[in-house]
Amino acid sequence: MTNARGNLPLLTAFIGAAVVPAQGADEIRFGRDIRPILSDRCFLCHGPDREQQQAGLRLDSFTDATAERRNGYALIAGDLDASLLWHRINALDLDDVMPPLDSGKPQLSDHEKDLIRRWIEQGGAYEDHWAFEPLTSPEPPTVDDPWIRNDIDRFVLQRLQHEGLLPNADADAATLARRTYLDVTGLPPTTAELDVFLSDTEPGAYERLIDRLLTEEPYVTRHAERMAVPWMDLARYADTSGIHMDAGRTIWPYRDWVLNALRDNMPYDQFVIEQLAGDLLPERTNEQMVASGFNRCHVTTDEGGAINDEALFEYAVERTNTLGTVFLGLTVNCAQCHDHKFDPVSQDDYYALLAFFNNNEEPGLYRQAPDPYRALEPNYTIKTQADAARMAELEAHVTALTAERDKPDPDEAEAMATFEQSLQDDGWNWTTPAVITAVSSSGSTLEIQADGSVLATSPAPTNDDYTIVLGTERTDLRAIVLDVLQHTSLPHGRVGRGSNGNAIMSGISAEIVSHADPTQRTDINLIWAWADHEQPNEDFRVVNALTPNNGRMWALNAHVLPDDRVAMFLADEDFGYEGGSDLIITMNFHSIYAGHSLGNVRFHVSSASEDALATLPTAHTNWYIVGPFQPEGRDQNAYDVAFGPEEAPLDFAKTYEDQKWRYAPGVIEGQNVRLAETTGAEYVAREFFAPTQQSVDLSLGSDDGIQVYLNGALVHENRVNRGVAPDQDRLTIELQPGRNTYVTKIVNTGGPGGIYYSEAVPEDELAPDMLAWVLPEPSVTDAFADRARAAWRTSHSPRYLELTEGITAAQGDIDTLNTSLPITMVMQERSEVRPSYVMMRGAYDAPDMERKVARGVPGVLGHIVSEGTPTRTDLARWLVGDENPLTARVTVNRFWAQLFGQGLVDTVEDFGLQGTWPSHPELLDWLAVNFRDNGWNVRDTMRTMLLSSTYRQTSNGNADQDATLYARFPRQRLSAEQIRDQALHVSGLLIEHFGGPSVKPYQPEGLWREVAMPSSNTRIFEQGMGDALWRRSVYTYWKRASPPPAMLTLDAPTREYCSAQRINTNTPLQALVLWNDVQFVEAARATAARVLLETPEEQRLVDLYRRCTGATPSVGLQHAMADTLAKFETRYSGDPEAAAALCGVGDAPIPEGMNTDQLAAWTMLANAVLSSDAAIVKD
Amino acid sequence: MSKPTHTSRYRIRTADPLEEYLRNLTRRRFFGSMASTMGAGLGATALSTLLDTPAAAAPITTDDTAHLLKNLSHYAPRAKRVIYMHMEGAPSQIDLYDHKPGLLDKYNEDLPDSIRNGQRITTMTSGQSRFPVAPSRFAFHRAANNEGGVMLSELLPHTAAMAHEICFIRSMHTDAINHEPGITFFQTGSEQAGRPSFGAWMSYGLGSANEDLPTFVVMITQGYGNMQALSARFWDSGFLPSEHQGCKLRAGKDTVLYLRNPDGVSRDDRRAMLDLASTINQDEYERSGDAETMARIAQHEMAYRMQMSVPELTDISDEPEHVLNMYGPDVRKPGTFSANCLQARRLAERGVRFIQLYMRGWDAHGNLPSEIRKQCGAVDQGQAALLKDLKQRGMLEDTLVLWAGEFGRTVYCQGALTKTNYGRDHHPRCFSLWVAGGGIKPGISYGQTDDYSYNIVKDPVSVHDLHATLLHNLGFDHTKLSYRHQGRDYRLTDVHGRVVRDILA
Repeated sequence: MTNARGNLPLLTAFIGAAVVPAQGADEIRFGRDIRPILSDRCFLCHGPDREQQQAGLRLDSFTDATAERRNGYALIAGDLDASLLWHRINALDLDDVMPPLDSGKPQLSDHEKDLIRRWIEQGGAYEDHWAFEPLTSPEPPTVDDPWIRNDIDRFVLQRLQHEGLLPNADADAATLARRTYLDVTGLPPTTAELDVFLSDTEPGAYERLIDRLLTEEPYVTRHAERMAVPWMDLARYADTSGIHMDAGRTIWPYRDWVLNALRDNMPYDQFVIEQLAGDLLPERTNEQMVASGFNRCHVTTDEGGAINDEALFEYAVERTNTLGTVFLGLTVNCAQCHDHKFDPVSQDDYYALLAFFNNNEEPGLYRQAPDPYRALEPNYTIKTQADAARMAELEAHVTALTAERDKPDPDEAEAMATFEQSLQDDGWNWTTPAVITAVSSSGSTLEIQADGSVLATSPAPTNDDYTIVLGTERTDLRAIVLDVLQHTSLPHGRVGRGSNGNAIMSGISAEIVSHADPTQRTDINLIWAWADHEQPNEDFRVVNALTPNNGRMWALNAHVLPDDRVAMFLADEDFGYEGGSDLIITMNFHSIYAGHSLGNVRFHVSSASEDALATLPTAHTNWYIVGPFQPEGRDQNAYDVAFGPEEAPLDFAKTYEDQKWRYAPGVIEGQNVRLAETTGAEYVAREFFAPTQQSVDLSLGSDDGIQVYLNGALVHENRVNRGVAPDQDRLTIELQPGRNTYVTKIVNTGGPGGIYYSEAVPEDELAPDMLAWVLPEPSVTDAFADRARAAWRTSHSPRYLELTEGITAAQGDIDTLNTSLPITMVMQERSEVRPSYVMMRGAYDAPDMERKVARGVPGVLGHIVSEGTPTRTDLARWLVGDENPLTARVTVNRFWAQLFGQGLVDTVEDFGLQGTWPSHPELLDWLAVNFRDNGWNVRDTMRTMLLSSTYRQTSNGNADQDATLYARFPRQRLSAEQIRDQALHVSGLLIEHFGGPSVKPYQPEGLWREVAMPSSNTRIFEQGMGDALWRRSVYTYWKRASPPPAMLTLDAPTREYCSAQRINTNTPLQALVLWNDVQFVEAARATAARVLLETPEEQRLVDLYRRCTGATPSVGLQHAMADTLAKFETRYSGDPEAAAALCGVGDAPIPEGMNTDQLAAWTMLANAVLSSDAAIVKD
Repeated sequence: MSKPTHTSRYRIRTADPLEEYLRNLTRRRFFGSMASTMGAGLGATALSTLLDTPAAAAPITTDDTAHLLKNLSHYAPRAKRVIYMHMEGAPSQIDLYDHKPGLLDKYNEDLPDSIRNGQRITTMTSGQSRFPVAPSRFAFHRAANNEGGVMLSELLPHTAAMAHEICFIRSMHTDAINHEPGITFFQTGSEQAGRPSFGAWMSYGLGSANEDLPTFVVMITQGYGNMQALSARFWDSGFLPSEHQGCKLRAGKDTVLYLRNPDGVSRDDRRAMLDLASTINQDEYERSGDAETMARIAQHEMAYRMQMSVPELTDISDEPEHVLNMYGPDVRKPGTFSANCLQARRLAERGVRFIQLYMRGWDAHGNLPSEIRKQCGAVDQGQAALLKDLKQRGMLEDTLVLWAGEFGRTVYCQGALTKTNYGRDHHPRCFSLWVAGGGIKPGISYGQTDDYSYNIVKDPVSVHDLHATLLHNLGFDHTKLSYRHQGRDYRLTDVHGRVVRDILA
């Protein structure tokens, strides 16, 4: 504590020296000196927000402030004594003093009071906020000095002279070259590039360097990659949706559009217009359409319980706020809930602006699709003219083949009729029994209809069970068919009673009761089921309903595909009593989906011969996986340890060692399927339902070994180490009628596990669609009959099959072409403009119907001229038009910050009243006007800055402590991207490939899984291979819920919202990244290898240092490096295993024949240099 | 030679918060606060906490400085750190804390309209035609506290045994009805992404008390029930500098990301490499006079120490058997909730300010009874042991322990209702959580809901109120711990919040 107190005088000294914000003792400027005080301390209650105005006083307007009031005047120009303002800020009475003590606002300091006093005494003049003033071109000061190279320097030097400061001299050539390369291309110069520059001693060498970097390849491409990064922060670009599932999505073509625009030096006004409104431009190009993705980069939600309108509103809000920050430098977001407290942006203004953005054709709430590369709608397929022509050609081909194939053929028709007849001769004999009663367990009204069906006519209860009693005289019954019919009285006229028209059946069971002797009754054992359609997004197969209460069910997908449905069920033996029976069928509708019962049902029954049964296809459940499990003992192997699932009866609801069966849609028959990377045993299982006894031929593969358990008995085993491939093992299994359990146990001994499964369909088995021909006539719709005919012709007519294959191939080509075409998220305006209202308290569901607003811009900034309702295009044009002073100012300020690490306006994101006063207002305006008037030429603006003496100075410390006056160049730590890209470049690992889908370089294991929902499609991080590891960082895949961890540690934002400025921090975690991240260890090793290969021994230390830092190490440093190297050489030559281990980090190969002891020693050296300030700081 | 030195533009983490405070008050930052005269600069808060006296009493007399400091919030802090156990997915208050014996008679009756009152419900149950009451199938027992006892679910026997140390709040309410906004609200005081999380605020406000460990640590346990997503945003620093981000402490080999040296690099190797890097940095500093470079040297040294201190932290072989037994058998399995509770105590002991534990898997839309049983089985013994352990070490009095989900669950059933099985949907209108230690009244219950645990009938507490109360005990006036961003002074409590004085000890 003593020690710390000892520091206090230092602090005081600091303050004494520091507190002179006003320049020159005499001149007070309202905007710079006074308004910040009023804005911060007074405007909350006496500012633009009408709701909050106290005592009817506004201090943000001269007229109001000087108006006569009940007790005098708040302000009288030049008269301190008569100005109440002055008295209130000095009041001794605690009830009178301003700001009030309970306001949470600090009192004015003596210094601030002094400023106010002098301001009032000097006339109390107001001036409008500088940033809203029109842009006028200030004359560069006429100061003359040999230091001056261009007009920027005139503004800077004039200010320095005013402050009594001198600028620093030019930095030495090597420092300047490295600074410039990093600023322009994001990469440091190679030693060769550096040498070229150093050897050019002719005048104009630096100018020539700038020319080269801004006009020649590969620099222009690199320049685009460098410039794109801050824009990605602004555009909140990422590769996942951000909320809930954080699903993957495709919008990288937008990122590539930005890269291309920057590479082509697209004029900035066009850059703005195309991104905000590319979709609306007349005769828009593919590229302009893609550019509109700027408005779609925001996070989206797929959370089940979310409300559509709320999501839509939030998206519009997000776009509006982003526009405010990026193009206006205004915190318009403050006006979402109330008038802005400081800036003249009312709530009406806000919603007028929002009205441009609430009109996108989008669903609001998205659903995650399995495909992590889906482009959320509205989306756009980028098709070139050649693509379009090829597509048309393929489509025409498909049409021609289809017409040829579907031509009627009398011979075929006859054969088909014969086949159909033969099926019916097999013993199918359908009748439609009369319904005797139909009862609901939950009080639904079930009405018996004239057509023999039962219709539910009351609103659906949450869950329900129907018990339907049918009367039949038959004794030979084996099959039951359920017709599920659409009805106009049901929701959306579909088959289900769910509010979306869908239905889910959780169980079906049947009982037969003798009429003659009602004590004679039997439960019918249903052993097989089939349906013409099953909902595909989860495990919703109809066989699930055979076991009521197993937690799985049949979903009909009727909310997606309407139409009638039909299902068939088989008993294990004939049923029906002599003398007639009641057939009692119970259907259960228990699920978490409320009201999803069937609306209109009808039953048919039939006999079936053994021949008929033998032709029916085997039914089965979906695949399920459990595991992996590891055996506990060292000596045990996973083959011999039964972890549980191999035993009968199989139950997917069971858990083993806390592990549950997981529905596994990823197990696709006929494909190599990847399983867990963990060693041990993993089980892949499903159930078969055989209509009768039958055998099935299987082709199996596994990684590594395999065991197969059928109904609890081991029927196959192969203890082998191998990678998975088709047909490694063959097996025939004998299925008993009804339910069979099939469990594959995969034993993995290293690397990823895998499985392959396919089964041969017996020739005499009916294709599922052909079941139409065994069903009773009323159950078969026309469309279904068509499918049956197509299925028959496929299997019985070679000509038909050949043409079908041709069609399939052409369809495949269409699909291939389609999937090869990038698809990306874009804007698509609704045809009808959605009205916009002021939302009370900013809430999505509280429109103030009295305050409808028309599209427009904040009044203080002017207004949009348009024919009819202004469009986004009009808004974009206005942004870059002459009337709006902000876009040019805000943009050049960001360019400046990109080079100097700080803006001329320090609050890069806020040019409003709470923003900071520009350090060089005239320079800012001069740059802005030049930018605008010279065709919004980004590269020229950068060039002007780069060529100035201001930019070329050394960074050596001087009296300009924070470099805010530019008496020196501000040293800056490099950005996350620059640090990584530099390491890749120096090491020679960098793969320079422009554009394309995002890539996944190294990251520690498990990060995604830790935070993801179990069913998220970005739950598993699959590290990229080869080139993907070494691309520039702008291409790194950005998962919002778990962004690239090293980037985040090095101060990159999460990209969940627009970010205009990164705050640099200095933390130990950053050191750990630079030391231990595989990416950096590998880069150090590759750098070391390069030096060892390319440089003569005596120059290696200097060369290594120069490669990494651009500078030549001092003699002292060279000694230190040599000493450290010697230490490491001894260390690693004594421990070759350690050396090999270090050199083995990362996927990049070690050059052939290289001595790893030596390489390891040099790797450590490179690791030290690359993590030091000499490398990670821009000097 | 004395080269002119320009000061660091960045914040430096140092061992001594006072020194840190002074260092942080760099010219630039100081100007920033002066120009805006906003007062609550960071570090100053840390200063006050350390001195245990109002900072205004510090002998800094310059007008502006006094002015700066006068505006800081100052209560004598009751707590120095927070352990916040977030139950992601939202546990059911009806089955754990909010005993409603009267519901047994109302089994499968419709929730009266007078109770539901047209409230917004999620689209998951908004299609249900009826809302049948699902009483808890779990028995409640009276646990001794410092009042007449408190009724707690049979699922939490260990926690019940610590009820005399716990303040149960049964009258929480929130604005959010879905997980993402709900958790974001709890963590950051706003449903929208972009604000700093509670832990980041505390890192900013309290500063560091251990130079070898991060200030804000996050640990995650995977659950047994229906799991919702987590996101880095929940422990992000928002607009605060990223040094205040939560640092994830993970089970397995990468406890702290990038902490382990690569294979083939020993601690001595790292030392040798670091010595060279420091020599280079020293050389840089002498050339440039950039204080930032000196700071980097210090940060690298801290990283080096962390490489030692973190493995020491996570190695529990020094824990006596009886302590391990207290946490239960799970404590030996890294990543379980018990193991993380023990880690939390070890972190707290070492001066870490904010320790956030996530337990996933409470989102029981169906099969609630079996899921909640497993979830409770996973947390009960560990969390109770943590309280006991802290108490025994005299640390509970200055450690705030918070146990909370993001909202509650409905009394009515989602999906099929039977006596033994049911599901519950999201319910923001009322829910329960508990706080212990750190100047909170022990052994009391606060707030009351109606007979259906559907509406609050007494002493409502909002999430902002909870934040304000916790901040209060940490020594902050929640209206004054702020950070200027986009021209506005942002707070954890936004523009809301009230200290719930009734629960302060």
